Amino acid sequence: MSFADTLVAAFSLVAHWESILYLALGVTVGVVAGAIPGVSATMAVALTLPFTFALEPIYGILLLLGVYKGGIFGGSIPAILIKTPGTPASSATTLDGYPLAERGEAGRALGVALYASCIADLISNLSLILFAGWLASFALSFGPPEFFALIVFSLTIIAGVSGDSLIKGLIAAAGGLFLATIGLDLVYGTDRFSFGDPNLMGGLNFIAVLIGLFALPEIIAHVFRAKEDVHDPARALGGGWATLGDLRRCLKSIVRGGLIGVVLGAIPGVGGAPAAFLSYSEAQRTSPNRANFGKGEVEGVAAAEAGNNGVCGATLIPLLSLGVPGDVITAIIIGAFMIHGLQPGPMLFVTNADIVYALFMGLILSSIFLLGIGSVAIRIFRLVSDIPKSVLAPAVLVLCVFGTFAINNSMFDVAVMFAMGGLGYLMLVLGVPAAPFLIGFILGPLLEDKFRQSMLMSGGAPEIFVRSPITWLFWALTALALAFIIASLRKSWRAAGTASET
Amino acid sequence: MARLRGDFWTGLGVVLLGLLLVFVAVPEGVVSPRSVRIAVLSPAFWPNILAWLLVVLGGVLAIRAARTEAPDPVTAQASSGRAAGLARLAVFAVGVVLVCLFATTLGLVWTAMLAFFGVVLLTGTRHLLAAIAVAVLLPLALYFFFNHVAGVPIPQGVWVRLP
Repeated sequence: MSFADTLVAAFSLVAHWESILYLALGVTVGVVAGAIPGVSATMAVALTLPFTFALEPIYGILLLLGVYKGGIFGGSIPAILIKTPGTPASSATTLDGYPLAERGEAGRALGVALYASCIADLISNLSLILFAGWLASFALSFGPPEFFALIVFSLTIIAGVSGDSLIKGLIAAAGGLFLATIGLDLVYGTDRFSFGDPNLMGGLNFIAVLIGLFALPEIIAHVFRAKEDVHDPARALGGGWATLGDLRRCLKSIVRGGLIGVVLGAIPGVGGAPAAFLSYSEAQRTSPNRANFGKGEVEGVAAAEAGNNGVCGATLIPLLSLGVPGDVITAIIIGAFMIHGLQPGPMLFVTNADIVYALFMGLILSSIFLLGIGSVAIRIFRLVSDIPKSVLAPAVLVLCVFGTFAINNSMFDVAVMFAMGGLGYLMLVLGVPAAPFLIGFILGPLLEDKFRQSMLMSGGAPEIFVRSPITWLFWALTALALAFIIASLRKSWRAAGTASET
Repeated sequence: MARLRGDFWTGLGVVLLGLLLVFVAVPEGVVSPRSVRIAVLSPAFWPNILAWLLVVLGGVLAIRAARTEAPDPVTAQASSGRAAGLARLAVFAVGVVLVCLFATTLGLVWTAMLAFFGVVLLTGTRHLLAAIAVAVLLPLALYFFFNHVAGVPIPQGVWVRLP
């Protein structure tokens, strides 16, 4: 199939009314979920996943991508109106968004946030289209040793998603990697921790694990606390809306923030929050209005939102081209690809190029949908911000049970989901992050598989792992990432030591 | 500081878990064929490496936490709130077991409704009418979506069957 034929096939997939409907639905669900305090974009994507089983792959994946993008923007609405970031990436938006809302200019702040999100999202999507194919064609020459080195490098994601304690992040990742060994051995076909139970022979179901880890702990925590969350009352939108002048004034910061988001998003594990803060600090450093930053400056809102939305498309670059997740949400989206019989990675551009290009087109469309749906959501925010936790928590529980059951029509998966929920809650209480656990669980089988394939190829000689310049490149990148991690670890330990002495 | 001292027990727990995996779970749970000539290709190689990694990381966490100060004292009021919370968690855990055991017999829709009410009763609410409406409508809506749109046969139970 020629490139033109692929584009025509892709267009015919996207130009279908169902594609448009599911994408719009996804953006709507994402914006609403992101706007509800306590429901993260990650949880929204995890809970939407079971609803895609019955859909065509392209519709299901567009629905999830819509939820992802909508969820990231939706987080900015409570950040501005009630000073409660809906997602960690929206924390930087609060710095100037809430002071603007207090001054009665919430509508202006939200308008600028929406325009910044859409423009940065578009920049990010265009970067994805430009770079993913190129990177995938480069990755086509990878053999098992190159993939093994790449996955080892990808595991440095863990440092980025470990939160306060890297050691706990590493413990969680080792736990996830271990859990992934359950099931029949891939080389010899012998039992590993399945004890002859057919339910365990294929390993634990990925979706049951992720729903348990990301949705249930919040519910269990609600049962423990048994209190309604109280937050500041939502500020009124005020009379004003973002003007063309505001947009013109912020455009430089928006484009720069979008590009910062693209660069940081393409590096596995960095995520939206650092991109938002870096974009914000760069805008503050170069703006003529730098004295107003932190007191209610629209350029600060624009920079923060551009940074965190610029990440969205870019995190799909390693996902689509190399088959490794850029962050936790794309790790969930990898699962969605697999459920629909698609394996993300360089071969996807060969075997399912029409779907890849259809996704690219859908992503561009999602930026436009975000503009329309986001502006409506801003006006109806009060309806969703006041959903009581005492009704929301059991409703999420019911969604978890139905969604997990639907994977294989199996109550065993529901039991696994509850068990993982218990583990997730224990991790929450002990301050052990859940994201590295999930990354380990997803990358574990790939890591082991490529390691053993390499060893089979070389007859057990480890030199195979340094056989080509590509493996050297990934080992060098891993060493560089580890050097940064160790340096930051020493810095934080030294800071903790100083704090305990004083 | 309380978190750091808590980290000591977390680390110790991880070390014990790792040792349990190395000396009990891996030897008992992994079947290694005798024909394996290269040790790194053995089905037990990877689980063993990961279990030892847990031991080492747990040890590092425990040692780091042991070198810090004692935890802050827990107040009586916080302690009583914690006891009530733990009691609710115990009831919730029993409820989860009941859901897993009886969902197929009772029907997933009715079980979900009961589970919803159970959580509401356990945590309390000032929005009882809204809770009742959602408890009834949400499982029904999900049943109709999964059963009739997605083609997933939701367990109907043996007593009351839905169309």
